[in-house]
Amino acid sequence: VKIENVIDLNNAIKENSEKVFSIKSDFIQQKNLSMLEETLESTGNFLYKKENMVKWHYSSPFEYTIVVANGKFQINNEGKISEFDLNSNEMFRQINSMIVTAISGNFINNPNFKVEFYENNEFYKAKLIPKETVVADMLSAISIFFDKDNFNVQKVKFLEPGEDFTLITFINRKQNTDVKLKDFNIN
Amino acid sequence: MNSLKLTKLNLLLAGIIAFSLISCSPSYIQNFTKNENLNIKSLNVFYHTFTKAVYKTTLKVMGREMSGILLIKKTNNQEFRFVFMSEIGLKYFDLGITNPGKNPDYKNYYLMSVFNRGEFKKVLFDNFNTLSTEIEIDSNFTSYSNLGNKSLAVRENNTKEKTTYLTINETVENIYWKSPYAGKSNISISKYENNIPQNIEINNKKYGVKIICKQLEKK
Repeated sequence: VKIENVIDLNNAIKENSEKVFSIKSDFIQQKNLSMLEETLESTGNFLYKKENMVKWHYSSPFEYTIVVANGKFQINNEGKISEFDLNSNEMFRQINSMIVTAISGNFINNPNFKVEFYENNEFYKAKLIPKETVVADMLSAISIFFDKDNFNVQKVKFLEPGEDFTLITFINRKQNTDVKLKDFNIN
Repeated sequence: MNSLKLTKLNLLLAGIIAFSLISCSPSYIQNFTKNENLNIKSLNVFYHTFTKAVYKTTLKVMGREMSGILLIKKTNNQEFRFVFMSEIGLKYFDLGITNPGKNPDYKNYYLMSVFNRGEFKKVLFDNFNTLSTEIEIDSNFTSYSNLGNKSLAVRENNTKEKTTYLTINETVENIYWKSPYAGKSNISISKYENNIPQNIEINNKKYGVKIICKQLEKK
């Protein structure tokens, strides 16, 4: 159901996101190709540290790690390490910005998205519709699902033009634990 | 005297013909000789029963490198779909081919805008078409074998878009094709398990496209 009066919800999400300094979580990623009736599943763990440090470690179906920190984008692909300057690649920069925005819940007053709110018994859903062409070419919307009790992000759904989507579900999520800088080491 | 001249001329002509034959044969079949007794009726990379395969894939194009997962699926309506996406789920392309072979129908379901330029899309389609095609070996092909008949080759005759298949025990190990617009491609295929290749490598030097696929799961 669409929520029309969003002031209180906006404030609650913003207040919660300001309290989040780090996140440590496992995740299940499901890539759904609707026309092909296929779902490809990946699993791994996720680290976030304020402001913009992110680490995705995939353990299945193969080992793969992405670290975004200090303006750099690093990848460890089965031992082969590569590094990009985030600002040199507009696509990577936008993707990272979207991920951080979605995971941290820090999208209130973000001029790059139009935001709509919905709810059911279990979740509040923020639907972010990208305004920038670079992002809109890849994604038609990002749906962020918040726990109704504590406003933590439980799931993020990246919807593509057409009906395909990627759903990331966070499990064993821990917030504001001791996440160290060395945890973002790519090796 | 005339007879000597004639012999020299014959030798010269024979030499020119032999040189032409050798120089016209590409390196990958230079150790092969024509063999009309081969009984290969058809060749394919993906067997009739193929439904899908998932590959860990690296795509290199014009010096840029992307990695991710390539899903190859044959749908109920006999369309081959090639969907390449990043590890984080971001789709790079989704291309469909029906009626693979000489007159394929190509459908671009999605191609990320950064790739939708130049001949890249065409090179992808043509290579995927070649991979998906089941060829009937008829009089349009010449067959070759090497010593001991362990490796066989079939090569199209007199076509501008010439394709050569190298096979061992009737499984396709290499495909070489060339066309006036798309240059030359070499597709290496290896380690078949349950009729599905575990490794596929596509290399098109003209457009700097290289795709390396290693199978993740098989069904």
